Amino acid sequence: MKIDLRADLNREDDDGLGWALLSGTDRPEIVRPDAALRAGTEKFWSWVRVTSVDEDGQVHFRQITAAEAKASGQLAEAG
Amino acid sequence: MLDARPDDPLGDPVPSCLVTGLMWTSVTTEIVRISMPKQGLRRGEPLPHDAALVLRGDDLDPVLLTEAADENSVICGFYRISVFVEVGGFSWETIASERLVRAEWPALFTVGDFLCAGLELWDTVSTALRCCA
Repeated sequence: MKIDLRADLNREDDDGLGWALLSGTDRPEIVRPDAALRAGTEKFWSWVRVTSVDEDGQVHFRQITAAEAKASGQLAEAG
Repeated sequence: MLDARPDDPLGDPVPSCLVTGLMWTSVTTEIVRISMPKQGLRRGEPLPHDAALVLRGDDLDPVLLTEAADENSVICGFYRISVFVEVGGFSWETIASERLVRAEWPALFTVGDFLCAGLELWDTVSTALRCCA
């Protein structure tokens, strides 16, 4: 399982969104608003949609379904 | 907030950077050390009763816990670990099935376990459960 963005899915920001650091990816170019990614760890992950990326490298996201990820056109294997 | 590092409340060896205080959220709780956070909103709720259950999704890998605490330090300026607590009428089963649905299992503790370990619970952020699959 390839994780796009390492994240602790137990935590949330003040708006109730999940968050991670941009340093948690080896492909920072794909971490942009509205991108659908796999976030988490190898054992505990979810599809997420990036909502924003702050200047300090904090990436905010919300969890989405596999169907929504697949519908985004980026994740042929999502289903 | 305690200055001394308490014993590990989670059963496994935890690096000293991880522990010192704790906090909770409508359904999220975090272990914290010093407060002046970017994520710093508190709900101002009373501490849950000692028997209220505390959940954290997935296993308690010391490496992952350290990583999470370090990341919080980068953004918030202090070390903390997020957990969920049975507050606001949400049972642990509801939290596990709606908030931690992707976790292979939840680790379960009580609020009393954390307090006895010298940790502090902070009520932070979120307002509602969302269902993700």
